[in-house]
Amino acid sequence: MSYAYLFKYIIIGDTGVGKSCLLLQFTDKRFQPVHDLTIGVEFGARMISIDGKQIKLQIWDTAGQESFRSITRSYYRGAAGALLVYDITRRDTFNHLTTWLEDARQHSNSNMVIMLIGNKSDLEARRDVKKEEGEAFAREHGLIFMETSAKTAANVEEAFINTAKEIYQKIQDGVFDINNEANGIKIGPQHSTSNPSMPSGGGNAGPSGNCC
Amino acid sequence: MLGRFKDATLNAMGKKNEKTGIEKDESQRTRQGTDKKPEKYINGRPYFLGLSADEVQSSIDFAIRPILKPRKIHDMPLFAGYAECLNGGKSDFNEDNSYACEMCIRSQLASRNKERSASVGSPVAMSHPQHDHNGSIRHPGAVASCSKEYHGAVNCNSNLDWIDEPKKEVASWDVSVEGVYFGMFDGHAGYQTSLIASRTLHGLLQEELNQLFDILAAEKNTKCVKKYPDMNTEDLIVGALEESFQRMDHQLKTDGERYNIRGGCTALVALFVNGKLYVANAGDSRAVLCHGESVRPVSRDLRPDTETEKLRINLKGSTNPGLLRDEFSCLEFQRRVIRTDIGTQMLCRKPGRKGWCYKIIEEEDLRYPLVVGTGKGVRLMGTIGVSRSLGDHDLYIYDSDIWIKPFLSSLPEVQVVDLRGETFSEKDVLIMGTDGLWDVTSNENAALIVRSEISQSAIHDKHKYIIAAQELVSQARGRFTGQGWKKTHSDDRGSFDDISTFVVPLKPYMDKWENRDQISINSIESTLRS
Repeated sequence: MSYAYLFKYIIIGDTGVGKSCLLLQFTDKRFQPVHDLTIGVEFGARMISIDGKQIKLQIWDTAGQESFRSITRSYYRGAAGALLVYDITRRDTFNHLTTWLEDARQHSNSNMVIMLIGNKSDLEARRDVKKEEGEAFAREHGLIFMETSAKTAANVEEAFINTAKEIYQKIQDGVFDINNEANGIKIGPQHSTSNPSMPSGGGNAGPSGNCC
Repeated sequence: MLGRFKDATLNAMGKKNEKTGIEKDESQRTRQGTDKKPEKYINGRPYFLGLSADEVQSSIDFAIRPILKPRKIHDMPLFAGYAECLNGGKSDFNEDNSYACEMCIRSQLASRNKERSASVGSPVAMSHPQHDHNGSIRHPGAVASCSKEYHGAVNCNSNLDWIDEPKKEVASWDVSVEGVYFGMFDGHAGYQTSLIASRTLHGLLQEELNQLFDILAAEKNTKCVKKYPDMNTEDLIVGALEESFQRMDHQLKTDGERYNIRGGCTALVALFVNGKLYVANAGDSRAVLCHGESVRPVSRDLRPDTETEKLRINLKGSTNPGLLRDEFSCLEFQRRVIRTDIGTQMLCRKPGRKGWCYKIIEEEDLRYPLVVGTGKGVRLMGTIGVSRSLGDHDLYIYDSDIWIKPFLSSLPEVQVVDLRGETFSEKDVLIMGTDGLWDVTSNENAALIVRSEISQSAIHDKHKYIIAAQELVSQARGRFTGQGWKKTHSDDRGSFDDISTFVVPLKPYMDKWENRDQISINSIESTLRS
C-alpha cells in the first residue's frame, strides 16, 4: 500500500506501564490484559491519514526493563516521534520520567517529537498521579501530553495521531530533513506498481494493521 | 560476503578496486544475470519470527538494524533461542536465513499414509508459506514429506492416529523416531538461495531419514533386530545429511532454470537424533558446543584457505586441467610468484601433497593461484570467500567463461557428538552462528555472554535462550557511532555483515529423548504383545 510518508516512533517508559498494550490497541484495536514482558524490541505498523495524506506509522515498542536498555537505546536513532509512557497508578513510573527523557534526548535526533502519556486512565480509583502533574511535567519539558487507556482505547488513537500531526507540521515548517533517513521519516514510494525483478517493491506490501 | 566478492573479482582481473564504502548487491556476474525470471519466493524471514510481508519490509532498516527474534516461544523447538540482524548496508536485504523444526522420522509406509490423510485435511497448520511441487506458494500448506513444524499442541504420537490402514499392515514397531533440526544459511549475491534452502533442506533430509527409519528405530531400541549388524548407524545419518545437501544443491540448479536465482549460500545444520548431535557444515558458519566448562567448535570453517580445502581445490584443478583454462595454477608457492622469479628455485606444494619441495620457476607458474589470501580475505579463483556452498551454479569469473562451480563443494563436513550418558544443565547449549557473529566474537566470548544471560534469567523463564541469542547479536552488531558500528563495550568494530544465531539448549532435548525412549519401548512391547 502506498503512502506519502513513513514516520518511525519509539515507545519508552518503565516496565508494566502498558507500552505494548498501547501499541496493540492502536494497531489491532484490541486489549490483551495479560501480556508477556517485551524482550528487547517489538514492532507494529498502521496507516493513518493527515490532511488527506496517507501516513504509515512504524512503531518500535521497547522493553522497559533496565537489563534491555543497551538494546533499546539503539532504536532512538531514526525515530521521528517518541511516546513516553507512565502509569497513573504508579508514582514511581512518573518519578522516572526525567531519566527517560534524558536518555531519549541524548540518543535521539534533536527534532524528535515527544508525547508524554499517562496510561491506565480507566483505573481512576487507583490514581496515584494527578493529571495536573502530568500536564505540568509536559509543559516544563516542552512535550505534548495526554492521558490514555489502552484498555478502553480512550485517547489511544489521538496520542499516536497527534504525535504524527506534530511531525507533519515540522516537515511543513522545514524543520526535518526528510532526506536523511536517520530522522525517522521516509518519503513513500511514488508508485505502488510492483516490479517483478524487485521483490521488495511496494506492490507486495499487504494492508497494514498487523501487529505483534 | 559480497564486498569481499567484488573486491576480489576486480583484483582477479588485474584491476584495483578503488571504491570504498558500501558495496551494493550488484557484484555477481552470471551468464543469466540479465534474464527476467520470476522469483521463487518473495523475500521472507524465518517463519518463527512471525513477520507479515509488510513487517518484513519494515524490518529492513539500515539506520537501526533491528534485532529480530521469535515472537512466540512455542514456535521454537526445545525453546531454543534465535536472533538476527540485518547487515550495515553492504547488501539490500538480509541474506541469511534459518529454519527450525521437530522431525518425526517414520517408516515410508506410515509416511505415505500420512501424506494421504494430510491431503484430505491435515491437522498440522503451518505458519508460513510452503512451496508445493507446482511452484506455487500456499498459506498454510504442508511439505510433501512428513516434516512437521513445531507447534506445542500437536505432538508426534498423535500423528499415529492418522494411519488409517489396518494395524497388522503397519510395521510392528511403527513408532516415530524424533529428531530436531536447526538450519542456518548465509547467502551471497542475493537472498534467494538461502531462502529456498531454508525452506527446503529439512524436507529433503526428512525424506532421507525416513528411509532409515527401521535402522534408527533399531538403534533406539535394543530389542529390535538390527538390519545391518555391521553398519554404523552414525554413518547412515551422516550419509543422509550429505545426500540431502547434494539434492538441495541440485534442486537449486533446476530451480534456476525457472526462477531468478543468483548466488549461493552456505549451510550449517544441527540435527539431534537418538541422543546424538550431528552438525553438518558447508561454508563458514560455525556451531560451538558449550558443555560444563568446555567450549569447543563442532564444525570447521570451510574457506578456500582451510588446509584440507586447499588440497581438495588444487587436486581438482590438477585432475581437471581444462577447468583452469591456462589462467590458474594449482600449485602452491611460498609466496606469489613474480616474473623475476623465473629460473630460480622456490618452495612449492604440488596438488594432493601434504609436504613442500623445491621447484624451478617457469613461465606458467606466473598464473594466478586457485586460492589466494587467508582468513576473511581469502578467495577461490579470486572470486569467492567460501569453498563450499549450495547454489552458485552460474558463478563465473568476472567477464570470462571460467566456471567456478566445479571447485565449490556442496558436500557438508559432518561431526557427530554423542550426548548420551552425559549430564546437562540449563547452561549447556549449542551456539550456531553465521560469520557475521564469529567475525567479531570468539567462541569463548560467545559462551561467556550466553552463560551470563542464562544465569541472570529466572530458572523457569523459557525466554532465556532468546534473550541470550539477542544479546549475542546485539554485542556483535554494536552501537552506531559517528564512525560506524562499534562494539558496545569497546572501540572495536561491530559486524557489518548479516548476523544470525541459534542458542539451542541441550538439556530439554536429552530429557525429552530419554523419556521418549521409555515411552517408545513400552509402546513397542505392547504392539508386539498384541
